[in-house]
Amino acid sequence: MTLVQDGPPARADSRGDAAQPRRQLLFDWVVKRGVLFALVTAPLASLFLGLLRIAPPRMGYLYLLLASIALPAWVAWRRARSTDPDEPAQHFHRYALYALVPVAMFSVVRIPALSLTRFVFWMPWYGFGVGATGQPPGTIGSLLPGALLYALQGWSLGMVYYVLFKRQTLLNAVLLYTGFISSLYSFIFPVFIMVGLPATPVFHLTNYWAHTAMGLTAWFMPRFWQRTWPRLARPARACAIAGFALVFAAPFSYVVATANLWQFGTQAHIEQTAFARVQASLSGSPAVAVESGQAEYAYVLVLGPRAYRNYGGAYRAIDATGVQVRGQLSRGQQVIAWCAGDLDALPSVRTVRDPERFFAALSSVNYTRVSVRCAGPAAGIGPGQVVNVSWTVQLLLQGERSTDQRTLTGEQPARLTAGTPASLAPVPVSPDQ
Amino acid sequence: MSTIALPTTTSPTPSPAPPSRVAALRTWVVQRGVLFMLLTTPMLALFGGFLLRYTTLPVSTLLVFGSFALLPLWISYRRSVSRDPDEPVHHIHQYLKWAVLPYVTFSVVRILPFYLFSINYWGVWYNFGAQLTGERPGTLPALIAGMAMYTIQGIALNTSFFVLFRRHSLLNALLYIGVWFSSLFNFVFPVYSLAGDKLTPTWYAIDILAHFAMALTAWSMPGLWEGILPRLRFPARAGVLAGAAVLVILPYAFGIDRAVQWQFAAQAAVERAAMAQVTIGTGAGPARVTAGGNQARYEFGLQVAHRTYLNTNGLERDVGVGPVQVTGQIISSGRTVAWCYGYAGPLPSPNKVADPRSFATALAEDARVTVPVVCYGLANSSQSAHQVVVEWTAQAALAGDRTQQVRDFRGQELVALDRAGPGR
Repeated sequence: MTLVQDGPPARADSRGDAAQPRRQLLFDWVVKRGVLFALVTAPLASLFLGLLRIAPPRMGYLYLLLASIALPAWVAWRRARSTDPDEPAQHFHRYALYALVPVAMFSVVRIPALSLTRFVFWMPWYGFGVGATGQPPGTIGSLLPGALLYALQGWSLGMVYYVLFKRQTLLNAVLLYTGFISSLYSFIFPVFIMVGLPATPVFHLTNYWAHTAMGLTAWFMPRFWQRTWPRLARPARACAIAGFALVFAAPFSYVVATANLWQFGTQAHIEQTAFARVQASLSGSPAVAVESGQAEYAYVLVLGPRAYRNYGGAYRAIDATGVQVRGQLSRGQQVIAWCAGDLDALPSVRTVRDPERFFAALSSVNYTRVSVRCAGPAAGIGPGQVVNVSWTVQLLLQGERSTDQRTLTGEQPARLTAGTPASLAPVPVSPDQ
Repeated sequence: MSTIALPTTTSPTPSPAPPSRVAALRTWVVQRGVLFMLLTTPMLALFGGFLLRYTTLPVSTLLVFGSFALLPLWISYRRSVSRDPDEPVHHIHQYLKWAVLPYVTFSVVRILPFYLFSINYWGVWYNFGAQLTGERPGTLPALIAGMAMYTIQGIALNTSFFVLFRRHSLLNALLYIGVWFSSLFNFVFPVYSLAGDKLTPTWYAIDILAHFAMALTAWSMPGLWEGILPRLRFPARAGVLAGAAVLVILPYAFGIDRAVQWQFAAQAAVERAAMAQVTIGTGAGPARVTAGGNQARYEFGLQVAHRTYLNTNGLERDVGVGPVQVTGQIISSGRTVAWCYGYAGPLPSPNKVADPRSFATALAEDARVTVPVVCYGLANSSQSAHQVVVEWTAQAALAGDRTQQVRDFRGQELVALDRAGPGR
């Protein structure tokens, strides 16, 4: 197959004609690089559609789904039509292979960060996996899809360099990765992704360092394959291929191994400690209303605390489902009322995707109020009397890695206050509950 | 002007011996097999995550995401090394273009049967979309996501015909798409999907007809795009292209139009009618009484029934019920002797059961669901009574695909007491 380069563009000889080459240049850029750029960045665009809350996370991936047909079609069409040997579509397979190493290098250089600073660089991978597949966070089920999506996003970032720049120089690589993408990352991640995890100087430093390494690798790859590779003998070539394979496999193998050997056990231990801290306590005094020979009571139990910090230092809250409160009010040995209150689930922060709103939400759910109603005979009951409130709470506590069916019991004397029937009305059943 | 010179395939001297079977197989794998595998990842995702349910649809769709990078890489690579002008990779952009009209024809020919037999073709798109994105079935986001899945499946299926067959003959098209895929889908969809659907011979006939229409269109595409269209003058060519564009838009536009203009309102009406049919009442048995210390405990159940309805896609569904909160009293000789409470979260429902056989079992099991109610009172209050009046109020959240409401139910019934335990 031979490629014959386009001839030089015709010179415009009037002001009116000058606009024509500019339009032609723009059209050429769009056709040769713009469309390809829009298609190869589909993994990033899909992620951003979800992050910027333009679409629900999984709806955002529809763009990637459609791009999976559009990108090969475009590459095939441009390869059939293009006569420009510099057009990126002509070198797509080379660029696609080049881009594999920078994405791996981005994580390889962050591996020491775990030991040095406790920075768990793969924590966002769970978020990617959950966002695309709905699998539970903190599990292999979300880690592996997240790793694939991370690889695709990184590959896509690597391709950006080869597709956008005709001159793949060191300066362009540094400007793109160290300057532009690092800055974007330092802004986007804390504002849109890092829910419950404050961005420390270590995060920003690691980000700039890793993107610089990625940029240097992206710049190095064409040089290696075009200049060094042809000069290598067979054994050296085998070593080079093995080295690249090792670099590519290293971060993924390391993450899967560390998740299994350290993270899951650590997280489970943290969760067990957090489960043990959850208690139920009476808030305020029970209210009583007497009507038609019957007494109705209402009081509030507070469940908490539920906030904790996970293996990577991010704030999270223990979830609780199937919350069932049963109890009694008594005076001396005499039971005067029987109590109950139920909730399908306590409010959760799992659905909070905005880092700015997270800590306010965490604060509001850390201690959760559960309404309890009681009823019994009215004989001799009224405000001001002291009764004994006893309760049993059954609930299923849930973390990312473990669950615990717990029973919390308590008993506390309290003075009755006057209530109205309206104030005693049960919490209305919500279809969204 | 520059050109790309296509590689020549004829070698100056004939090969002394035909290639071995292994070499032929290797050539087939390299030229067609790998391309076929990468192109059909949407179909693999459909089978693995939706039909056979080895995993979930979002997880199986990761295969498609993987092919996003691998397929253009493979195409670009093979184009740069292949010397065989018949290798599909040299024509893949044409094949992808040819694949568009056949898959839209598959839906276009089912528009008329929608009016004749009320069998809509976009019903399954909701299921694709709901499973892929987690959106509620029967909503526009689920429909749009389902359309995206249908699109890539349709393109993948038809492109695979052009990739697998060197001769794009009518016989090959009819055998591959009309017979093979038609038979496969007529078996796979009813057996593994379409839970709650009561499929009639009409459904099968429409499906076979649509596949044959797709096969005929696929066969006609090379002739249309490479034979007829280049020979047409500008107005006629523009007319044909405009017609093709209308055809492409038609099934999507028609599906969305009918969904928005008719189906959503009709579905809401169906659901409201179904919600009005839901009943809650005490079971036939007596209330069980146990006494311990100075307390008496009464237990009875409230049955939730009549939840089943037929939705606008022709599928049996249950009205979602829950949470249900029950409060009440037990009255004996005109006096309240116990106070009752019951609570249930979302009641079991067959709606999310994807397997048709399991769905039928779940539908039967969930026809009547009991919400347990427990009452407490003082032990000596109803000591001699054999019957009591149970007075209860239940508040239940009801949910369909398009509507939600909270309904109050009340009841007052005479119930026999079944005494047990120390108080008997």
